[in-house]
This record gives sequence, structure tokens and C-alpha cells, in this order.
Amino acid sequence: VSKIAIHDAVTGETVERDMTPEEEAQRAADEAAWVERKAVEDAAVEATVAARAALLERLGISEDEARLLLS
Amino acid sequence: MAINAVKYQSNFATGLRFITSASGSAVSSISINNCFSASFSHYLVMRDFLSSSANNNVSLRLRASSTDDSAANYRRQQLDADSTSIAGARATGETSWVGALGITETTSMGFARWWISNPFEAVRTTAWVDASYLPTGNIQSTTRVYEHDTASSYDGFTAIPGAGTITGTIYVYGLREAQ
Repeated sequence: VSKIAIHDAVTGETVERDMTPEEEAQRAADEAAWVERKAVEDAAVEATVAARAALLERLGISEDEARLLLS
Repeated sequence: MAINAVKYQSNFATGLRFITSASGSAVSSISINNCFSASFSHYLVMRDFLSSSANNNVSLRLRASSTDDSAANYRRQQLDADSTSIAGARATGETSWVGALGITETTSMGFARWWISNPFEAVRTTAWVDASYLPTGNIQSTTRVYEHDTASSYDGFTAIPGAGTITGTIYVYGLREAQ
């Protein structure tokens, strides 16, 4: 069971307890969303890297040479 | 000397005021209730994480009366730098502010400084974070701005690692703008 820490700024008390079933469900949804989001972001980065490499090959220049052109 | 003393006293009444801190050990989330109030409009949140069981964006969800607001009303705009590569990204309709407490790796907790404006007032809450991102053998930075789409009042927030658990402490400060 996942743990949750809840602190109250007025009383200064912190309670660390097991998550309720509702909190566990939200936690599972958050984690699934995170996995999905990370996959999309990783794929976007990989696509950009691949597109850049393909373009450099078509132009016949290295990454350093491309950077020099843009500097 | 007398003039300086008066000036010092005046300045002391403004600036950052410590409100509270909350710790958790190997927890899946850390919630703080009643840290936002009518006493301040702007808040600084720092975190001192000691360990993370997974590589994570640590997100934040606004909270009122001990209940998280997990409706899809959170949006962000970010600018990421990785060596000479700069990339922007935008997301809307999310259920939390993704990465608002930065990004942790199992090997490095990184740094994050989060400012939030007007969470307690019943207006759209906005926030900003700048953070480091230190995957093994690399160093990156991210700057993100956030908005919540409803004009609601919140008195706290929950920090949520994307996966796994975190151990550490979150510090909340209020900014006293004037006497």
C-alpha cells in the first residue's frame, strides 16, 4: 500500500498513513498518465534527433559544421 | 546610525517569511494544508529531497479543505535546454502542474524553485518554476510557467512524484511585499 504524508501548517502536525482506496486509484491514474506522457515526450525527442541526423546526412555536413553555420 | 537603524527595521517587515515545512519518508505524495492564506499573495516553495525511487517529474496539485483538485484544469508552458538544443512544449487540460517541483533522478535530486501567485484569492492561480535536470552524465535546465483555469481559492497543495516514492522536506515561504 502506498504511503501519504499530510501536514497541517496551522497545527504543525504531520500524519503519515496508508492511502485510502480512492487515493490509491488517483495515484494509479497519475502514474499511468506519467508513463504515457513520458513515452510521448521520449518519442518526440527521438523523432527530432532522427530528423536532424537525416538532414545532416542529406546536406553532407557534420553536426559541428551545422552549428558553425548557425553561430 | 539612527537613520540606518530605522531603515533596517522598515526592511525587516518585508521579504520572505517562513510558513511551514513538511517531510515524508518513502511516500507517494506529500500534502500541505493551510499554508496559503490571506496573509500573503505570493509564495516561494523550495524542496530538499534526499532520495527518489524512480526518475520523476514531481508535480503539484492544488488543494482546498484537505481535498486535492484533480480536475483537468491545469496548463503549462515550458522551455528546456540540453546543451545547445532548446525545446519548447505546451500542455493544457492536465490534472496537475507537471514538474512544478522539478525533476528527480534516482542518482540526483536536482534543484527546483517554485513561485506561486494568488492561490488563496478566488482568481486564476499562476506559478513559475526553474529547475535543473541531472540525468546520469548530463545536465539540463527547464523553466516552466503554469496556470489554473478556474478562479478558485486554495489553501494548500500536494506534491506527487510521477512514479515511485520520495523522501525529503518541502519548505513554504510567504512574500511580505509591504508593511
